[in-house]
This record gives sequence, C-alpha cells and structure tokens, in this order.
Amino acid sequence: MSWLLEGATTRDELLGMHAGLAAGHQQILDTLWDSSVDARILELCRLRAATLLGNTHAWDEPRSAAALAAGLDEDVVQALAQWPTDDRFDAMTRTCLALTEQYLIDVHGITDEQVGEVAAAIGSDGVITLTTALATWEISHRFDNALLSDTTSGTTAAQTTGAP
Amino acid sequence: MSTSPRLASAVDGKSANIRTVMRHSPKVREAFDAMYATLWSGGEAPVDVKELMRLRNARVTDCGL
Repeated sequence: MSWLLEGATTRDELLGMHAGLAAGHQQILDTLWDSSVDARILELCRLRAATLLGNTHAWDEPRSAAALAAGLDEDVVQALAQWPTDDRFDAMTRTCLALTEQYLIDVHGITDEQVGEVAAAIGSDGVITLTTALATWEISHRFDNALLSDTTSGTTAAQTTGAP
Repeated sequence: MSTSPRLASAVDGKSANIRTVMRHSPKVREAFDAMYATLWSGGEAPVDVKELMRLRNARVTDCGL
C-alpha cells in the first residue's frame, strides 16, 4: 500500500500519477534492457542493489522479461548473496556485481582500476549502461522504500529485509 | 573523490567530460536526458525548489561536479 494513492501497491501505479515521468522512466528501462550488456547480469545487479537498499518490493515483482528471455536461472538468483564464492557466477558477472556493491556502499571508493576491469569485461558502452542502470535502480529502490509500505505489516520496505 | 572521467571521450577531438563520455552509449544517454528534462519541466514543485533539492542531494552524496 502507499501513503500517496489509496489502493496502490506498485511503483507503476504511483508513477502513473505523473504520466510524463512514467513514460520517461519506462523509456530508460526499455533502453537499458535492450542494451549490449547481458540482461541476466543487469537483473542480478538490480536485485543485489535492492537487497543492499532493503527494498523487498523489487524481489517480489516479476523478474526482468529481458533477463528471463536471456536465460536467467532462478536458482542463481536465489544464490545471489553468495556471488563472490559461488562458481555459477562467472568473472564478468562478478566484476559487475562488485561495481554494483561499491557503487551503493561507498561510491567514492570506486577506483580507476575497478572501472578499467568493468570496461575490459563489458566495454566502455557497457560501463555507461551499467552505471546509468545503477543510478536508475537506486532511484527505483529508494522510491519504493519511501512511498510503498509492506502490505502485510504496514512497515516500509526499508524496515524489512530477507531478500537474498 | 574523483571529478575526472575514468573513460575516454567517445567524441573525436573532444576532451572527456560527462557528456562526451556518455556518448559511448548514446541511446542510454538520450533516454536519461529525456527523463531528466521531464523532472525539470513537469510536476508541481517550483524549479527553484528542485534546484535546492539537487544541490542538497549533491552535498549529501559529496558530488564534486
């Protein structure tokens, strides 16, 4: 539920209160999912960001259609917290997840070397896509935390955790 | 804090800055710019309030740009 719109339970319903913004938000999402970066990696980074920001709504909503079409494995999704050691996460995915965590935990701790590793893995265009995606998802996750509350307990998303 | 681009310019003859670096992924840049423009042009909040929010956000996140 939400404080803003009675009966609203999703981000899209709230964004629908501002049609122009909703359209712009959808356009950037469509562009990101249609980019050169593997959609499975983008979805894993989106969900990892959700966990770090305490947004359970992102885990409850359907997985990215683009990522599913690319072969996203739900068992791998459920193992996301173990990405540094689980061998189902390849080097490229780990490089992107490492940047995701650094971006969210201490963005000023990102180094030239780390960006260089990501660029070597997914290209300069991939770096722009991934960092723009992280910025977009950070907005989405914080939006959810601020404006959507848990439907069962009435607590905000930020007060609930439990996602992998 | 880094205020120097970590990627080369994607525009021949232009130095690296936020605009020329983001041209590595022009479609993403265009979509981002479109949404950014909507944030500034639409809604109920006055532009001067939005600018104060932008600057406060920059201060909180220690954005040197």
